[in-house]
Amino acid sequence: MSGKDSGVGLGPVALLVILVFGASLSLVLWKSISRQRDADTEQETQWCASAFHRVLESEFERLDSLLRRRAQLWATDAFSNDLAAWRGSVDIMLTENPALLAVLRADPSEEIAGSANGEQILREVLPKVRRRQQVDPDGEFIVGPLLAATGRKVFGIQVRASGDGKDARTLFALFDAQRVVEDVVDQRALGFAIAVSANGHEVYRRDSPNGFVKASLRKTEAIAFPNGKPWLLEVAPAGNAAWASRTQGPAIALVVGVLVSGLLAAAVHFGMLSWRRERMLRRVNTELERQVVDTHRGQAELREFSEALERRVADRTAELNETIVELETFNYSVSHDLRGPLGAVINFAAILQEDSGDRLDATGKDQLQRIIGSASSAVSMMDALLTYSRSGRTELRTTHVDMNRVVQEVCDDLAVNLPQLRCAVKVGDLPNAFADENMMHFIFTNLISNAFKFARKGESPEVEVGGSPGSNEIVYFVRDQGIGFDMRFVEKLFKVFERLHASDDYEGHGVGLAIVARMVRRHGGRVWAQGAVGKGATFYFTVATTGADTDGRLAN
Amino acid sequence: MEGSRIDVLMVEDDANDVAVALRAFRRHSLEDRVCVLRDGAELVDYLQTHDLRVRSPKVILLDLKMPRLDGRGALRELRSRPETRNIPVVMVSSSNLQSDVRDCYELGANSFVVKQLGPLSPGTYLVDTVRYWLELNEATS
Repeated sequence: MSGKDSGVGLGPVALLVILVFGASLSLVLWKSISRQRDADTEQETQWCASAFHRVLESEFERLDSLLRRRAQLWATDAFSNDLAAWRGSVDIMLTENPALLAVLRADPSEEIAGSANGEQILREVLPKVRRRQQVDPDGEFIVGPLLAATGRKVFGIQVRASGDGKDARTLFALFDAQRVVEDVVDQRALGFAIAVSANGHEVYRRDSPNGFVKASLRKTEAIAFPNGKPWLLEVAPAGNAAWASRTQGPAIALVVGVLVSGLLAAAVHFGMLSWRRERMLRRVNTELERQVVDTHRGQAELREFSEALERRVADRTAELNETIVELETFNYSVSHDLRGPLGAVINFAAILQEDSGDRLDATGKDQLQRIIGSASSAVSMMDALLTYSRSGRTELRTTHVDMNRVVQEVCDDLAVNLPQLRCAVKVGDLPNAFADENMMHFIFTNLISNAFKFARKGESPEVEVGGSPGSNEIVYFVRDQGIGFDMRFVEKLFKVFERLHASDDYEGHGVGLAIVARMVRRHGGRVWAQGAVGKGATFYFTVATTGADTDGRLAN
Repeated sequence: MEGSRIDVLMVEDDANDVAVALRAFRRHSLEDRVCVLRDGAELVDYLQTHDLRVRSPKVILLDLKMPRLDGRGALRELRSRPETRNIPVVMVSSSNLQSDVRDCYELGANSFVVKQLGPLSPGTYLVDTVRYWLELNEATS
């Protein structure tokens, strides 16, 4: 898709080719026009020549027959004897036919009649005429030109009257051949040059001032003259007005050729431009389509990839859930199955104590009590373990929780067994949270009861519960003034079965805080503690204001 | 006529639990009114072989985990028959698993009691339970 492709329709070579083509076209066109013109001209010349041929022939025939009739007429007695009458008749004839110059009666009278000039010429050429007559005394002939030196085209014609053999049988007349032809040809067919010749002598010539167009188109006709050799008629087209368009032929052809080649060049140019543009557009289109296809393919691949990823995640989650279920089932069934035998131990020990306790001494009673205590402890440990396990699995049912009410209920519940709790707990204004109310209940129960459990011996416990909203979480705390703990072991606080204090002194299994931590994490929150030995402890936990159950489910 | 005084059917496979329960019932003079069955299948047999129109049990204590026909199966069986559909059933289990509790109520259990372990008066909770159904509850005939 370079700019060259799209910008230029034709290169110089293509232009040259078109120019040459245009020139050739002009030439061919010109040739064709010119050939057509030539053909037309030739035809017209032929027509012209034929026309003149007919006209001249008929003129000659008219002259011939005129003379022939006069000869017949003058052979009669009226004219043979009456010379005056004959002369009068000759004068009429000469007046009527200016081309005739003089007449000679070829009878023994040898009378000559005609114009003064004509008579004089006749007398001049008489010797030649005599010589010709001697060759053929009674024949019919044409002779001339008789005055070659003067340049006048004077011809003589002898005709014989038809009929019986009388004396005045023949008539000799002088005529101006040029005049005859002129009368017929002048002012006619001006577009042609015309020449008439007899016996190799030119009788008449009319050339066009513009010259011949083409000598090769000259047409010749033989004009039969009665009793004489045929005269030659030559007709050639001339470049006068009638043929002016002929000369414009090449110019027209050139103009047409240039125009056509220009149009052709333009057509080719724009055609190529449009073709290139179309090709470019098509290419761009194809490219775009390919990109679209690629994009679709990419999206499909991405979708496949993400689907595969989702499938893997789902598979792994399913596997994990399966494992968890298996662990839970194991945990549950172990707890449940152990609960039976341990329950039996407790029950029967209790029955023994009830039914036969009187028969045991103090040591026996103590030992029986230890059996009951240990078994009960084992059962409650298993219960705690079950609770811990379930805290990670039970469904999180989040609602808007009024934390003040929750803490109040917790205090009420705990106060059943710890009456002094009522006046020992100070509750601040707690922000509400979006959380699982049962879990919040458990958390506060655990923390507050811990605060009492780890109070300093002999002192009335002071517990403070508070909370404050943060940017994206709410922080709650439970603070006591109890025995506290060593910060070095703070990590152990929230682990299962980890204890910082002896169980002999403080009852419990070390599961409660682990459950608290797990529940907090399921709410997307954090849990931590601060304290010092003998100086009380503060337990903090947060509840995220957005999102919950992020990672707590699978923690630990 | 034998069994004519039976008002309580206790379905329990654990001999220890049965012993503790019977002791408790005995101490409260309820022994004669209790018939112990070992599993769900025995319960179904019992209900089929006794004319319930003459005397229908006032409560059935049904353990959840048992061989052969377990608590769930037995409950489903009971609730599917017109003559046993309305007999009160109290589920007795060592499990307090929420799914177990919900299942039983959905199958038509009337109550769910978790087995109590305590150093004092073992099995007394069963006596309390039975007393409620025998003395306070009004059954349909």
